[in-house]
This record gives sequence, structure tokens and C-alpha cells, in this order.
Amino acid sequence: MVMPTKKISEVKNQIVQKKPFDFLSIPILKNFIQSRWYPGIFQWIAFVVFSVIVYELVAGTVDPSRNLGTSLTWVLWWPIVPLLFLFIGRFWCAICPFGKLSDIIRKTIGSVRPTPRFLRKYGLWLIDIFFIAITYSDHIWGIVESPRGSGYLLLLLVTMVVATSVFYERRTFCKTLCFLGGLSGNYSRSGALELRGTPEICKSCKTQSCFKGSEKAEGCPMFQYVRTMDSSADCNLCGNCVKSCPNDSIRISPRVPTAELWGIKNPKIEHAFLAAVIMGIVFVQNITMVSIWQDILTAIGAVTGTDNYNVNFTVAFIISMLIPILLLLGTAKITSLTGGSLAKVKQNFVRFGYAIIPLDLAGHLAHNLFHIITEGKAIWYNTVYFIGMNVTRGDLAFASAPTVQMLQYIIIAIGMVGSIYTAYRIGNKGSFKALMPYYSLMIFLAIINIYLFSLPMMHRV
Amino acid sequence: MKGRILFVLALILILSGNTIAFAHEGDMKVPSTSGLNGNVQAGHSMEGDSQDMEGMDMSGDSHDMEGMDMGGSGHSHGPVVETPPNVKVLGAFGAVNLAFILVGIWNKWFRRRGEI
Repeated sequence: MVMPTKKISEVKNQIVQKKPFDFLSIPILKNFIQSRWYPGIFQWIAFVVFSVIVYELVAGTVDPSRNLGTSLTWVLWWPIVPLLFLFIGRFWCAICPFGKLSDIIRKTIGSVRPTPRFLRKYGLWLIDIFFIAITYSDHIWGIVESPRGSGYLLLLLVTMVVATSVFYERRTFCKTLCFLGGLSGNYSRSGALELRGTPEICKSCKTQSCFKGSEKAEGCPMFQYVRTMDSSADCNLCGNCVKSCPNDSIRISPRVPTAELWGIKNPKIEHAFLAAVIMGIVFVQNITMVSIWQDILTAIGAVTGTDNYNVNFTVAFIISMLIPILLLLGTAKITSLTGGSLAKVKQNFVRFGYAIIPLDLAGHLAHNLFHIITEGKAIWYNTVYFIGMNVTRGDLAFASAPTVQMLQYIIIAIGMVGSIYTAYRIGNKGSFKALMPYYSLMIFLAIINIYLFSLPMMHRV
Repeated sequence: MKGRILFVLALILILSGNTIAFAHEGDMKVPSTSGLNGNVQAGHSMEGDSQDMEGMDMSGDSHDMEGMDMGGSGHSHGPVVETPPNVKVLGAFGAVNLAFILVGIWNKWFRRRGEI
């Protein structure tokens, strides 16, 4: 049932005084989001660039420093994408070429079969496993450094997208299998943008067109029902609900970064686990690129009795993954034992696991900041070369290593403050003594990161 | 608007030139993990080169890294043996994707014709 326009205006007027700023109150922006140009225009641009990247990766030069696909993917996109999650939530997922491919397949030859129960139940665990597997295989087979390897990874993802889109409804792949989707979901929780319904309007809505779709747009591709949506983790900002809602209930508002993490209503162990795993992955990415890596391999080799790289790397990888998980588990145990929290160890692990996310984001940003600043000009040189112009290649760096390091320390410090404050809010503003173990954990993780960033790091291209 | 255009032009000039000295200029590429794994591209050998990475003690044997590109300025990878696209791998990807697409076509246009 569509509400009368007058009633909607009255309700909105009452609400507008206590609600945050709504970007949809800007007419030009609202009209654009409601138009068929959004997000299509961005999707097609991204799709064309993606096609060029894949072509370059699988058919271009095998020299990563001169391959446009490598530099656009790993020097530009990968460092920038966490920034997007921080400032504009999962907007990238709305324009992602894989998502666009999924949309095309579904609309032409796709099925409307519901997502299998297995994927719905264990999808997040699969995302966790894929993320770990991709990071591991990158180090074993050198996917990032190899244009061909990167190309095959993208083609593998394309195959997964095609397979799921042929058989299942909406964006099943993005929701339950995409490793980046898991990452973006976690990061977007601490992001500065949210899309929400207006409860006072939604509660009397009978159309549910945000979920079911309308003649203006299809239903939420991420299976979200705006009326009950309280997280930005699964909102792509695709604008379908803005187009479909007959009651003008949707708002897109800025918010304090990390605010969503303070009161997760239904915390899940998969999310907490992923948060800890991402910290482990940041450790792996840093350790394998710094000068002490050889010493670590040698030390592990002394224990394993072999100098086989794969064996020793696997041990280092497992240890790096386990460190943040065990630290979080240990902290949860200590808090339970010392009476800081009456909740069980598992509950503490799950609740406070979300507090690591700001530090994850900071670690990811800081690590990739190094690549984009010290290798960023490769994007320019390779783009110019790709379009047929000749340019003298010089140094790839925009700034010096010490400058980058200083920025990295600042980012980690901000992340640490964010994580500590998130722990404080998750702990219901408990006493300093009660939450001390979590504060110590965040400081310890930050110190490890800062130590790793203080070491000279190698380049990607 | 004029200012923006000038800014963009200035950026293009700066980026395309090779005249600015960067503190990072002396850095070099250290081995990729895949390089350590033996998946080294031709020309990545560091034999005979003795430049030290900033802040890294390269004096001992333990720091000799197979596959390390230590030559030249910038992050050059040295000579690379170019290989053509792997038609077999690409063909396999193409065939698998085509199979899924054909299943989709059969499913939607033939098996369930008229249902939707």
C-alpha cells in the first residue's frame, strides 16, 4: 500500500529534525540516482576498463612493471578500494565488473532459483576460506607479480560469476562467494556512509518493493530488506531501492566512521574470524615484503629441516593467520576470567572481533599506500605506452620512503584509536580496567604493524 | 576551470618527465615471493650486482636472494622473455564459461519456455 503524499511529508518533517543529513535531499543527486544512468554509467566504464585489464594481463607483456593490467589492478585499484569502502561504503560492488557481468547473465539467460541453503548458511565461511586461499596461492604462485597469474585469477572469478548467475537469483556470487565482498562488507561497517529506510514510513509499507522490486528497478540484488536493514555490510548503494520505493523512505546519510560497529545486533563468528584473519593477511603481506623475511624463512627452515620455500612459507602463513586469532581468543578468555565481561569466551571473541576492523582497514591502507605512492607512476607510464605514445620511464615513486612511512604510522595510529574506541563502545563504555585487555590487544597489534612498516619494503611492479 | 586545466597539464608534465630527484630513487626491487619460490622470470637474476637496498644489510650470504632484481634505477625488471598468450588455458576458460552459458540458454529459452 502506498502512503498518501501528505502523510509522507508530515512524517518526514517530523523525522528530519532528529535525523542526520540526507544526501537524497539534494535534488540533482536524487534525480541522478533514480535515473537509469545510475549506476549503469559507472558500471559500463568499469566494465570496459576491466576488459582492457584482462586482455592486457592474459595477452600483454609478462613484465609486471610494464603491464598496464598489473599496474591498474595491483598498484591503483587494490590500494584505492579500501578507501572507497571507508568513504562511500560498498559503492564499488555496485559498479564492479563481476557484478555487472552477473546482472547481464541473469537478465538474459539466468534463472530465478533461490540461493542454495548451503551457500546461505556457510557463504561467509566460504568467503573466509577463499580469501585465505587466494592470499596463500598468491604467495605460492606469485599471482600479483605475474600478469598471466593475475589474469587467470580474474578469469576464474568470471567463471564463478557466470556459473552462479546462470543458476541462481540476484547477486548470489557477490553475497556468498566473493572474497572481496567479505572484505568490503567488513570494511563498510566502519565506513562513513549508510543507506537506511525511515522506520516510521517503512513500518506501514505493504509493497516491500525495495526487496521485491518494481517496474522501475529489480529488487535488492544483495537480498536486503531496507525496513530491517541495520548494517551497511550488504548494501551496494546500487540505488534500486531508491528507484523502487513508492514512499520516498530511503535516506543516504553520513555517519561517524566505526559507528555501526558499536552496536552490532547479531554479531557473527564468521565476521569476527574474518576480521582477525585480515589482520593476519596484513602481517603476511608485510612480512614477505620486508628485509627480515629471509631470516624468518631461515629460522622456520631450521625447525622444519627443509629449505623448501613452499613448506616454510606455509608454516609462516599459518602462524601469521593464527597470531591475531589466538590473541583475540586469549584476550576474550582473560576478560572472562578477570571479570571484565560476564559473557562467555566465545561471545567475547565474536563481539570484540569487530573492534579489530578499523585496525584491519588501517593496516590494509597503510600497506597499499606504500605501493601506490612508490610505484604509482607505473600507471601513467603504462597507460601512455598502451595508447601508443613513447615516454621516458623514470622513477616510479611520487614521494620518498620516509614520507610514506610517516603516513603509514599516522594511518595505523588512527586505526588503533578507532579500534580502541570501538572496543570501548562495544564494551558499553565499561571501566578502563574491565576493557584493558582489549585496549592492550589493539595497541599490541598496532605496534606489530608499525614495526613491520618501519622496515624497508619491496615493490610490486 | 582554467586553474583545473592548468593543474592537470602541470600534473601530466611532471609525471611524464624524468627530472625530479626522489629520495626513493636509489631503491630497488627485492625479490617477489614467487621469485623465491623459483617461479622467476628470465632476467631477474641479480648475479654480479652488488647494490644494497636502503636499510638492508646485504653483506652476508644469507641475504642473497635468488630472483632479486637489483639492477638499474627505478624498479626495472630487466630483460624479460615475452611469451604469447597461453591459448590452452584461455581456451579452457572459454569452454567452461561457454558451457555454463549454453546451459543457461537451454534452461531459459528451451526447457522453461513460456514459464517466465
